[in-house]
Amino acid sequence: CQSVLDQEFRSELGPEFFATAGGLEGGITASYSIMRFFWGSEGFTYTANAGTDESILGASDGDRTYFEYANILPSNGNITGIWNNAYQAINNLNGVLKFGPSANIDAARRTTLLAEAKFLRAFYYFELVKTFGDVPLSLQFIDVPTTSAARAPIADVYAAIIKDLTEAIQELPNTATPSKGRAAKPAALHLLSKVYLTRGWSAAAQPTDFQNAYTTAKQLIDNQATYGVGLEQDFANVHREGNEYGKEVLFVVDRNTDPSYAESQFNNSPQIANGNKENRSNFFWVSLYTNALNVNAGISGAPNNTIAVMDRDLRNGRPFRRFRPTNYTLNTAFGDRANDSRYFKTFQSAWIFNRTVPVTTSRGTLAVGDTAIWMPGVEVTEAQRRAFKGVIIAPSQYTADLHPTMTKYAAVNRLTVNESSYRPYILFRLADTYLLAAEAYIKDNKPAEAATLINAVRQRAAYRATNTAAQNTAAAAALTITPAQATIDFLLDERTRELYGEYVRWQDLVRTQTLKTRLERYNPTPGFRDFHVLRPIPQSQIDLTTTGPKFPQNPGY
Amino acid sequence: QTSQVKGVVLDETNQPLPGVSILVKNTQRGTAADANGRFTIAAERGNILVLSLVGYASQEVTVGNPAEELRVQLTPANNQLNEVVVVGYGTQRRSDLTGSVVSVDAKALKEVPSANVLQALQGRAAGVDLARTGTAPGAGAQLRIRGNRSLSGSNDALIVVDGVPYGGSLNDLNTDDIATIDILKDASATAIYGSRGSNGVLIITTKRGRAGKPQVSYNAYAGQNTVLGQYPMLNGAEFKAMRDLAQYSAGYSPDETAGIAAGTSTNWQDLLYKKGFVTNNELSLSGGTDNTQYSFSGGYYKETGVITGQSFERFSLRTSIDTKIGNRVKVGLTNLSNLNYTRGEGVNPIYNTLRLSPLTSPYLPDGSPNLRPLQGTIDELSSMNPITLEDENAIVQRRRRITTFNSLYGEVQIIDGLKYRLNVGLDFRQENFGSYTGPNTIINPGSTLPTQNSAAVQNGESYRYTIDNIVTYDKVLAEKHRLTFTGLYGVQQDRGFTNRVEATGLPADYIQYYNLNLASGTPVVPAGGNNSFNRSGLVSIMARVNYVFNDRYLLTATFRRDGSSVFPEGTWLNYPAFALGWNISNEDFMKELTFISNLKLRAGYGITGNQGIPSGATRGSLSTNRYNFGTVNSLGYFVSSLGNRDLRWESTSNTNLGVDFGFFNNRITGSIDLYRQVTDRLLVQKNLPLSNGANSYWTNAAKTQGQGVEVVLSTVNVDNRTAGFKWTTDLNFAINREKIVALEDPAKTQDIGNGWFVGQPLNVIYDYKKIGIWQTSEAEQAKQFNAVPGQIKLEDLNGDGRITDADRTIVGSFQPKWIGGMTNRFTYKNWDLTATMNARIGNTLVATYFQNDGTGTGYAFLNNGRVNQVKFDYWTVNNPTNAFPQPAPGDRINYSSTLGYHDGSFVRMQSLSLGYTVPNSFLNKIGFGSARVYLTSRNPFLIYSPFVANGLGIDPEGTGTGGAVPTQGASSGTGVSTRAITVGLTTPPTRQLLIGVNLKF
Repeated sequence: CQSVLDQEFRSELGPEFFATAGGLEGGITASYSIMRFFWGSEGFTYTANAGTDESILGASDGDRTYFEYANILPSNGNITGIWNNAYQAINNLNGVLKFGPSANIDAARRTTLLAEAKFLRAFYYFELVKTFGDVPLSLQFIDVPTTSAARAPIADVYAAIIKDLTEAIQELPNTATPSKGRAAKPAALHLLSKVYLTRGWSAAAQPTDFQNAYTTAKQLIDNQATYGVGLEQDFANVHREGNEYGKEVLFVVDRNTDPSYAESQFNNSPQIANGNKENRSNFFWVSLYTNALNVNAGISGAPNNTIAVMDRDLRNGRPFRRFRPTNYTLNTAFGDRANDSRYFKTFQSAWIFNRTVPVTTSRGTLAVGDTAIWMPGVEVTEAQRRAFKGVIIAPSQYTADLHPTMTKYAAVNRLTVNESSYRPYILFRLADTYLLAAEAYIKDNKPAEAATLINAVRQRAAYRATNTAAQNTAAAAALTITPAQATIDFLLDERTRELYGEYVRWQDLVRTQTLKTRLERYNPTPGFRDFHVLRPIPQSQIDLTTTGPKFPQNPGY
Repeated sequence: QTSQVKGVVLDETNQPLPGVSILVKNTQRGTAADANGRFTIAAERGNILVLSLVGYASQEVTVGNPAEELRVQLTPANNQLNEVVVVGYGTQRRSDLTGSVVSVDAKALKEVPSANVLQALQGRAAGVDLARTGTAPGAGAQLRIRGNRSLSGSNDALIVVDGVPYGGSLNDLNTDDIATIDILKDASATAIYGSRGSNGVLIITTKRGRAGKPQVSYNAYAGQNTVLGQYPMLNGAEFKAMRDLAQYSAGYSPDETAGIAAGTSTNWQDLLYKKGFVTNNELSLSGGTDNTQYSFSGGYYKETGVITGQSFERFSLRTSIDTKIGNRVKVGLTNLSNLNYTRGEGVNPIYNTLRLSPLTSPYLPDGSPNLRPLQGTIDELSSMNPITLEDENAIVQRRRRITTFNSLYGEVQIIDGLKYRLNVGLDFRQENFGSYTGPNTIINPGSTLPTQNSAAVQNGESYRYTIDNIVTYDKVLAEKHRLTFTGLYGVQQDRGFTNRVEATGLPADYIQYYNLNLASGTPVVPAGGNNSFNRSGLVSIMARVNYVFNDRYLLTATFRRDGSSVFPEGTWLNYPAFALGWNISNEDFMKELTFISNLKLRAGYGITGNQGIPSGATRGSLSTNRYNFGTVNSLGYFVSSLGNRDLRWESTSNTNLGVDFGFFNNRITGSIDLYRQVTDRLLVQKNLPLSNGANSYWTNAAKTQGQGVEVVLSTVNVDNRTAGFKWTTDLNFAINREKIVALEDPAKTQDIGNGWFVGQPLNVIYDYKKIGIWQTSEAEQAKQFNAVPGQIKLEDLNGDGRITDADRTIVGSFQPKWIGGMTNRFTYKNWDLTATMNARIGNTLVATYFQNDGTGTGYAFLNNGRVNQVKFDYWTVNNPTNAFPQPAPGDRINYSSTLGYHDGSFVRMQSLSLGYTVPNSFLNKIGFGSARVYLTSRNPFLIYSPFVANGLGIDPEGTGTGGAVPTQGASSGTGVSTRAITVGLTTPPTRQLLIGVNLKF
């Protein structure tokens, strides 16, 4: 009868599986996959973009919490999600690093995989330390769970991150195969540079941090051919649908159109992760272009005719309108639209008529192909309105619902309009490396070097495919800055122009210690308090730490 | 000398009682009463005839003048002391019982025509609490005997059918096949089941044949299912008023604007609910000779729901044979086979229907359906017209179960009093589930293209085998000492697996889930519990002694030792139990007190166990996710749970004190039980601080305690034989108080993350305390709390002028203050009327549709005007209510979890049944034995429910567990939210009106 009392496992794998070839590959794959919980999910999108100088809430049915700093509760699911998912990945990577070295697999491959594991562990700890400050640090696999936990000082966390990344860079290949969804040297160099830069600004700063930050970045910038990367000539190509593995891209959260491996409902696949890992970035910046509006507004004497002029469609996207640009973004950052091409390559200004129902304005009946809504970005005269058959929305007419749509994440090639995006999310790109290096140079009092790097980005921004070469050269010259102009303030404006909506702004302002001043200057937010530069420790972490000392909350919460 | 003695057997209402077996005592001579209750048997003056029938007290009659017809009246066995009660691995006379056992017989079960045993038991036995967990046909219920003990392990009672532990669903059993249900409640009774006895034991005995002529009976009913009510939604004008107040930014669609002008106010639920149909048919045949008895029955049950596509259908077949081989050997077999179909179990169009704007119309002016009533709004693709549910090809969900339960025994009388019995049980179940959801329906409104469909197929099989070797020695010594010894060696093994495949892009609706190969999308094997394997084994040794002295002093002692494969270390544990009883009424000094017919004291103590954890809990495991590197797809593996090899059994010690009584010639009978149970080393699925990288693990921690009182009372209120009128009442009442005594860390008094608090019941609601709504006059005070008038006002418990985590407290519990049931039976000549009521008082319910945290839990868009909602008394400047906050823009209402907690008390008229027994004189002419027709209304009305009376919902009973908005401050998915009994927007509960017959031939 002893056999009756034996255990039998057939449907579950244990962690020792990582000591096999398939286990080592799979353990690392899973750790990449956890990134999908962040970039593209609604909650994380708020934490990265809301409550900054760049964006305000698009409309009424979003979550105001992060915009207003009014009620960021320790129980907020978005905060909990960052914490929980990062630690899930970290302990998994600890397991991979524990069992992986004994995996029976080609030695070179094993070395690369273990380097990826270190890159990823550093990546997740960096997310945690930026978001929460002091966090529990474990570099050993936790296989016996514990109900006690303590916070390690950020200095220790940064040291562990830098050690992991430094070791990873030694072993990672120069270029990523088969896609930029795998970490290679470019991604690791970019990340390490940013880690040094961030620590350099922090209370745990080391004197060499800024120098290390630009040296690391320069290793990538100066050896572009070796690493197979480079700046796109045309800013419009950076986020062009289909160019997610383009030369400027260093690292992506990968995704494809396969219904199951995308883990999203794209193509109506089963919702493997209940939608939590979908890339919904294509929804959040889309304005409510389908809303009924008075097509004769601003035309004196014409009758009020309130009707929708657009139907929802794939090209124009699903109008979630969670974010819209602030006046700072529209008028300050993107003030120069003559020389700098980036405003019109970032925001949509025309909506082409697509309704089957006839829509007649006082200027005529719209036909398919006519521009139904036009946002020229400047105020217009009544005469200009009368000369245009569709509806002109001038900046003074922008509302929470109707405003320019940021199009970096537009995903036209979907089956239906309500689907999330199948596009890989571009996480690191070379232009950002330039700007990070420039920031480090500014902090290290080397404005000339900083200006050179900023100018490389700005001169690219001058390029328009429709211009002549001479026009492009002239525009580039006009955008060139002097070393004296290379200040943190200018750099932050430049980062808006280059990186608007790219999930870095909140962290940028926190890192550069400008969140408070920039909010005051550009987006007054009465709810903001100094302590808000750290997010609250999830209440569940505090409540569930039932043994030993109480787990401390961040101040203010 | 021997002559043919004739007789007639009558029941308590003087109706002929067919099927009674008649045996001449101390002989093998026997017969059975015919359909008219008549019998003829060879006997002589002075012989004793023993008359017996299940459900009735057996009676002995001495033959007087053989020429005179005997007239014997049998009385129902209920509360009769000689009634045989099934206990673990044997039977006992009720008068010899030392444990707390309640019995429910077939007759009582029949009083409430029910789809399954749980429904039939509701309100019928003290200390047995049934809470509904679903409303669609085929849905189940949660059975709790004397409350909860375990925090994370199973709290479900062990079910034993014909001596064999039963692994299937109670939905698989046909109530008509059940002869008795005996519920063992205290440890002195359940310790015999050792490691599985903690949560009580439900022993089901199926009907068997009796010696006599073949008996054919046919029982049937049919009737209608209608919704108990509709969700009270806002009408057109009310919806508009709420939306305007909320300043919903997207305004009105053109259709809504037109609807406002035309005064449209559509009640979308009218398009959804249908009348359902219920029928149950059972045909049975039984009979036998002295040596061989047989019984067969076939049953068919079908219930269609009030929503298109929902139904439950069951075909059942029962066979039992018992036969003697010579004088010493007896063998027998029971087979219960069952095929059932549950359709549409997960089809829930309610939310998508209720959210529709009442300002739009179901039909277009040309009479065609308005398929997208939200056209022109941002929710255009989020819902559809509920009439799209009628497309039978587009929405399919079918679960088919086939089960066969077999219990085989062989019994050898070794010497007089010593028996060896072998019980072999095999319980095999196979389940197949298929679903298909097409595009453009209310279930899948967001999909508009023909290929945007999805299908799934799931198959599972499981079996359990049991082999029990039982030795029984029964001996009466010196007339006064009755001794019974029972010994057991048994083995049980369970094994099962399930797999599931999903696919999208089926080419046509009619393919449904039948050929996933035709799908354009790659079929997917989903992660999670749908692909699983488990095996567990149990080895047991048990010994029991029952000793009765002089019918007065009773003793039971039990010892069991169980080993389980669930625990790799510390596999074995012992379960002792001990009980005493005293039949006071048999004492000589009681003879004077003639008004006392029966009085017995019982006291027992025992230890039982619980091993209700998943078989893999002792070992950490990996889950899968998916990723791609460009076009290269890869499966990922990550550590999702951490194991604990040191897990041990959880054990419950239980003390029970009881008194059984009967007064005035048993016109008043009943019992009172007091109990106290302490469960230690609880198996706990403990949530972990997420810095571990996993969110929970299993451990032994904490201690709980429960105590309570149970009262059972049966009275004959009126028994006027001359007028032919009788009124009897059965009453049961139970109070159970469970609480947590200690947590894993004895120094801590609360574990907020898990929702456990020392001194509180196991499942409580820990949240902020809503004390009303901020009123206009309190604007200044509200400002201090970051609030404005019209928002939820919380109690600042610690008075620090802020609402923080420290202001959370226990605001409700799912433990009722008391539960009870009452059955009144009235008979007047040929008419009978039975009314069954049940009550649960003092428990809190969580109505999830009043909650919304902006993350998709609760009722999305509550109170912001975007969608329609259940009507509630919201605050406005002119309506300074304290009930619900003012409509406002935004997806979330801060602290909205506090809006869902309401009083879940109710008293329900569970069934009302009026029957007419056709007079014998008439039946004899047409060849029937007996016939009764009846009209029953199940769930006719609620007598008391503050929740329903306040217009907050349809019914105060749960529609499921989990899904509540988490207590703000607990991480999502933990704490009360997964354990709460919630009332959500599901198929409304139904009322049934049935007409039925019971025929015997």
